[in-house]
Amino acid sequence: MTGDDRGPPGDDLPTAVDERLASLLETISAFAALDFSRPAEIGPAGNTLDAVAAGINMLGEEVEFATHDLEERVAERTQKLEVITRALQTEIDERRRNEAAVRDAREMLRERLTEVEQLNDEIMQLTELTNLLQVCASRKEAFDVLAQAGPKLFPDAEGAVYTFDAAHDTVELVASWDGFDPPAAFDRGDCWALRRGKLHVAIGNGGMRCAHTPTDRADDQLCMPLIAQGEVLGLIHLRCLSDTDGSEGTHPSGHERRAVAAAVLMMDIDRFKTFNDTHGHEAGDTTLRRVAATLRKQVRVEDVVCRYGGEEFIVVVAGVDTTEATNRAERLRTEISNIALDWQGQPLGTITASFGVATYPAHATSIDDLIRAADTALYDAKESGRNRVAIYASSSEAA
Amino acid sequence: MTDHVNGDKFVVWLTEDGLLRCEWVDGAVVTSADAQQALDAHAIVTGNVPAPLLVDVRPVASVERTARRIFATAPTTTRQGLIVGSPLSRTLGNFFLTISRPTMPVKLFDDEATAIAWLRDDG
Repeated sequence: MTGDDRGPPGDDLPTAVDERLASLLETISAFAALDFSRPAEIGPAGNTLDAVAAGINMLGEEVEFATHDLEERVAERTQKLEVITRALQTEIDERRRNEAAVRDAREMLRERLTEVEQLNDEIMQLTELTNLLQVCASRKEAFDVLAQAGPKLFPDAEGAVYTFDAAHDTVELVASWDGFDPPAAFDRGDCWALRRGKLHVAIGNGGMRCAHTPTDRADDQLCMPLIAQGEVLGLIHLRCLSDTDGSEGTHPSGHERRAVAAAVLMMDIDRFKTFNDTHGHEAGDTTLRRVAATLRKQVRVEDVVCRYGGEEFIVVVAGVDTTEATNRAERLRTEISNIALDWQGQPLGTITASFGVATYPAHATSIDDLIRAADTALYDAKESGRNRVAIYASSSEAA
Repeated sequence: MTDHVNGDKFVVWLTEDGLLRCEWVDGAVVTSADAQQALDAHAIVTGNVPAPLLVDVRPVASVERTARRIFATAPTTTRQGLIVGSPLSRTLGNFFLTISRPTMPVKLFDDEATAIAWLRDDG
């Protein structure tokens, strides 16, 4: 504008409209910063500026309400999420503990089964050896049988069998195994076992080594007199193989395992979640302890009972076939259903349990497969109505 | 049955042909308490029978958010005709329609006759 275009003096000062507009802009800026404490002024004229002011104020009200409402809902949701997260974390922690317990239980089962297998295997070998010796027609035959049995009975040792000569002063080599190169004969006085009439062991270079054993070696030696009807007939001499010994021989790395019967009973308490929800977790924990105690009381010393997780238990029974395992599971099921439960003086009624039975080697030949088979049978028991014993059937997995 | 009720900032009455009418005092700033008082007055004059409502919004200076929510869900009215004139009253009416989303039919009018004709039209 030129100077002629300007109006009379005073037109350069802000007008009332400019002031109102400036005030509205201030209000809008404040609202934009979520400050709703200074609403726009609405004049009595009800004109356009008043309408704009009213509109801005009402929009500000809506935004303020929406902001507060959102904050409240976020806070409420956050609180709920925290509760859920804590509950999930608790469940995760418990699952991890259960998984660790399950792993420990599986490992223990595996070890126990291995021990059972080994023990039974050795018993059967000794039984077979005894049976053979009893029908031997001569001493030579008997010593041959011993020489054959030696590697199987003493897989980690070289061995030799000696027998007394007619004068009973000297023992003569009659058999050896695993490449053992013992002396062909030696005097009675050269062996502590023959002199004492009992087992003699020399560990490394310590202890009293027999004169017939090499003195330039530090391996373990065992001399065992062969006694029949009170008379010493000869000697078994064993040299235990060490890692530094070059003559590893041809001892078997593991004798052939025989099929040994054993059973896994997998048990699950019926409707335990409902029981927990009804009576509370503390009553539930007490019930689990009562069940565990009942199981342990009903099984043999050599059987294994362990908690498999949640409300599941595993019982490993050695030396039984499927029929006997099923009978035992049935007895356990009955005992559990007879437990009179109570918590803090209040009766809780009774519970029932379902059982799945699988036996080794009939249903599986590895611990993992055996447990899986028992679990499948347990599932069948549940599906069939609970409170019963089901035997693994391979058709169940295919179904 | 009372045929009219005088509130703190309004007067409510029922016409002979069953039209509910409400007029606010000049420059009224309608709060939630005012809105609830008005609804109570509606119920009194109609005997709790919902009726079409004609409101002259032109004197009103502003309506609080909570008051708008109360009017938007009023169980005492079957439909509402709002008479607007100034830019301010038109803004108040449009905001009520679009933001408060009333649960009954609501329409803005520039004159009373057209508003009454619409309110009486059942079709």
